[in-house]
Amino acid sequence: MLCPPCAAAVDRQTAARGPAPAAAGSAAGQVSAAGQVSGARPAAGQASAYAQPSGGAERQVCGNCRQETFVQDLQPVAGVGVCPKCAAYFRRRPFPLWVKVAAAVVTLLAVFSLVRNLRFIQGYVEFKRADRAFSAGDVDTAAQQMAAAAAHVPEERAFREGAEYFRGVQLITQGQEKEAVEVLKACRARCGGGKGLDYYLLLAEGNVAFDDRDYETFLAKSRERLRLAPYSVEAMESTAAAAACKFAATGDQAFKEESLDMLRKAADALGEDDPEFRAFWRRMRFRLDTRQIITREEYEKRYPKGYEPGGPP
Amino acid sequence: MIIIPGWLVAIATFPGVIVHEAAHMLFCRWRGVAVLDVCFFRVGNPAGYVVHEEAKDFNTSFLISVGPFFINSVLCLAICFPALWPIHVFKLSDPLSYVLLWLGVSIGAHAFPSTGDANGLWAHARVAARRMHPLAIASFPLVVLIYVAHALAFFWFDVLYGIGVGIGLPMLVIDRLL
Repeated sequence: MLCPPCAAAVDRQTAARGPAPAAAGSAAGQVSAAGQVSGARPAAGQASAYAQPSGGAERQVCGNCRQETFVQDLQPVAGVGVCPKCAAYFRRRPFPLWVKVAAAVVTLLAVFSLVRNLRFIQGYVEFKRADRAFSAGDVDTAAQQMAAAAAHVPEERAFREGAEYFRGVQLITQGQEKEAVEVLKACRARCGGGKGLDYYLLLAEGNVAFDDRDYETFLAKSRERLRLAPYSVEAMESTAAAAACKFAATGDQAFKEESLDMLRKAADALGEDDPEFRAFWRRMRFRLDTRQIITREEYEKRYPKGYEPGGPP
Repeated sequence: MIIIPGWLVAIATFPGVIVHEAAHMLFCRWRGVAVLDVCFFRVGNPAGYVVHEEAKDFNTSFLISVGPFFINSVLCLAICFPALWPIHVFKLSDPLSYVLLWLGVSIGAHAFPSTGDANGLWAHARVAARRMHPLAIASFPLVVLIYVAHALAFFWFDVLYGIGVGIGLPMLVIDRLL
């Protein structure tokens, strides 16, 4: 028979423990395993089965460390009353040092993997942007993005060659055809050429020939370009311009016919109402009618509203 | 069909076991659930385990059971995604990237909770579902998925999941979306 304070203390402890300690060990304990479920460790639960009031009425042994502690300080862990120190240990169980080190290593590896391979991701994204920009006709962006891609992944041959190729095309758009020919020829020597590369190289070479007043070469390069891309309006226009130059230089009607034929084909492909084509057509008509070969700038200075021959071909 | 003992697979993918158990323990600590015993890796069945007191509510039970699934999957993706670029996109033979891919896939292969986790979650979910707990109701298919995954583990489903998350998903993103 216990005195009232002792009985109250035992009641509090019983309430704190919850179900019978022996059951607590197996039922409350739960396993989370990577493989199969294994039995719960019964140590803490079983230890509490032997936890008995000892000493004064307010003290009892901890279910884990078996140190005496005040009853009111006992905390239930898996249905077993343990001292605050043990409860704190179980609830904030520290990770072993090697796990902490392993976690740090895995985290560092994840970061390292990202940092180390970021250039590959950047290079690929820039390559895709360059490709899209080139398809959309934005040569400057394409050249800039491809150069950046080649700088990020220098070991990728396709990026290096692509950067050279786009740079060559960019030089053509900037009117630096001689430099473009050098860049594109170097690129072709490295990669063996390709339809697109050959097309732009012929364009640059044709433009250089025009600047040098070598209309024979200009026409030859334009015809070759048209063979490479028979449906290219640009190639049709270039051939028309080159044949017109040849007619202006020689007076041979066959070249005039060839020029007009190309203009008709370009008109069929583009539509006669296309404003850019109409401006080009007027410039060619001027060349064919007057047999004068002048630069576009000179032509635009002379005919700000365009040459008026008498109607589209 | 080649039958490879589970312990051999566990050894080959031991980082995943450690991460899985560490994730269990991390969520236990976060939710104030006492961890009575823990084994991060051993050659046996199970390859690792965490013994903890019963969770007080469903949310805690859910986090402890399913937490490693998310942690392992995210880590698998985070390690594999950058490592895949030099190999898959640029066809470079980069030994370090292969090591990182092994690490990531190993972690991903141990993402799925154990049947013990599923049992605990199922028990809690049944009680919580009676109170119309939305997460508990939503977790029933997840528990079924875990059981199915374990049934298919014989056919290397767990390893295939790791490969899928670590290699398949990044390849899909690289090839289709970028």
